[in-house]
Amino acid sequence: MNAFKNRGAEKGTALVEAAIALPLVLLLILGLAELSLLFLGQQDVTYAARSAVRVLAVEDGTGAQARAEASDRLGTKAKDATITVTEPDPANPADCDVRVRIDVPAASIKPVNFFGFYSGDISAVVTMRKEDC
Amino acid sequence: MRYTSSLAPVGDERGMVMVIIAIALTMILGFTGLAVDSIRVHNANESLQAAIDSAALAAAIGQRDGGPSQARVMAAQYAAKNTANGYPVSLANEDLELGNWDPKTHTFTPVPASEEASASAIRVIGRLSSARGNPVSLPFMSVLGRNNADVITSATATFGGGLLDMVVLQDVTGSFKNELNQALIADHLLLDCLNERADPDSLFGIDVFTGVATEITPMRQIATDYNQLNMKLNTIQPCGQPLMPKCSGTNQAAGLRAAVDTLKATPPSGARAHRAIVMVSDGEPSCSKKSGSCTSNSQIIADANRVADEAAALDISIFSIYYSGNGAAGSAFLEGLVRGDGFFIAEPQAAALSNALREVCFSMPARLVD
Repeated sequence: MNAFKNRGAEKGTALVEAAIALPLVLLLILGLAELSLLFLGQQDVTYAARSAVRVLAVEDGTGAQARAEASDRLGTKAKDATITVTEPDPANPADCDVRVRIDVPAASIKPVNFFGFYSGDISAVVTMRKEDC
Repeated sequence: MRYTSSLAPVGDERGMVMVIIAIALTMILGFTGLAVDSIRVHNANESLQAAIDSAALAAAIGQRDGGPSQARVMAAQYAAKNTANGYPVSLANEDLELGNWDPKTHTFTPVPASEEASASAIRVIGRLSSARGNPVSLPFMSVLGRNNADVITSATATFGGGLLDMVVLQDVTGSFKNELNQALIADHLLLDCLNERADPDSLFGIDVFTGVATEITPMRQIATDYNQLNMKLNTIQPCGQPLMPKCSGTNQAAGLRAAVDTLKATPPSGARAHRAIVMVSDGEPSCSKKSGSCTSNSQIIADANRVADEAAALDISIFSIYYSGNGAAGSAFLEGLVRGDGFFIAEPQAAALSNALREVCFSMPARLVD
């Protein structure tokens, strides 16, 4: 330790401190970035589900059109997404609900996985009443 | 390491990087936390908007089909079918307002409770707020003393609105002569209703028919040509009069053919325009040789259904309004011409035809407008 008390020997101290602290800082920033990506992904998935269900409810669109709308909104995330469209049961006249559920694996939303905050699906479900029912 | 010497006395530079990193880290954490929390708030807003859209649309359908109480029930029901901030969305009484939507100024005007039954638009407000006990928590910003944020959003839905391209197909046969003025009052009322509620770009056309059909006006923009359209309606008279078709039986097929052609001749007012024919007639088909358009009543029936199918294929709805006061035996034929979102009304009172056409105007699809 005597070497560190020596003015000349202090020259490397900052480097050592930086070497210890910077990876921690970097890890923290990357972790927050990962968290942000998850939340942003959730927003995109919710928006896609909302747009898709409106195709069914308001525009009298088909399930295929709703899926296409969801895929369009999801962009590159669409390739790994599971889009489930539920239309009213024709056998039940009282059933007027249309529902779109989108599940996207978290791994396809965040290209990096530093902290592994979440490894399941990012999901959104939106239910509306079909106008023409 | 020149910078360290300016921050600390020479002789002890240990820990200086840690101090700088600690300061930098606080700033980085602050800004990144702000970003993450902002995204969470936007996220909650997106989910809440979806739920409120759903509630507003359901409420508009409820108001159209059952009045204010049904509107409130359906709004609450469909809000709760969706989640925001992780919980089903709940609405308080004051979160739903009934009123009217002005498509020209794009404004919603609430009506007093006494006039809620006649309201044609519903505004639903969604709230995730401290006052409701469900604000969006801000884990990062809480370090800076801001524990949560309120998110408030709204959606307005209406019925009888949007882009509506409509043709009135008016029967001017001799048997309808005595009731024609009442029918024309109803036609004017339909035009007024569309002028008030429909999108300003919506189109309106007028055709009349006996055994043959005459186009009174091609499709015109309601907002800009409202006065001219009213004047055109005023020119309608019983058959045989100037500009009117000759009295030559009753051929609904010829009338529908003309109405479909009138709609087809002008491009729709928009990609999502709702196109419809409103046929007002007083009776069963009657093939007259004078018309030269038919050989038998059964041919009129077959032709009319064929044209109605063609209209349906073009996504054109058909409303069939039947004045039954002249004692015609049945109306199964006219009822069978309904297509798309249209419906059939049999009205024995000529004076009540206005109510029937008001119902047509109000029945148009509910839609989110704001």
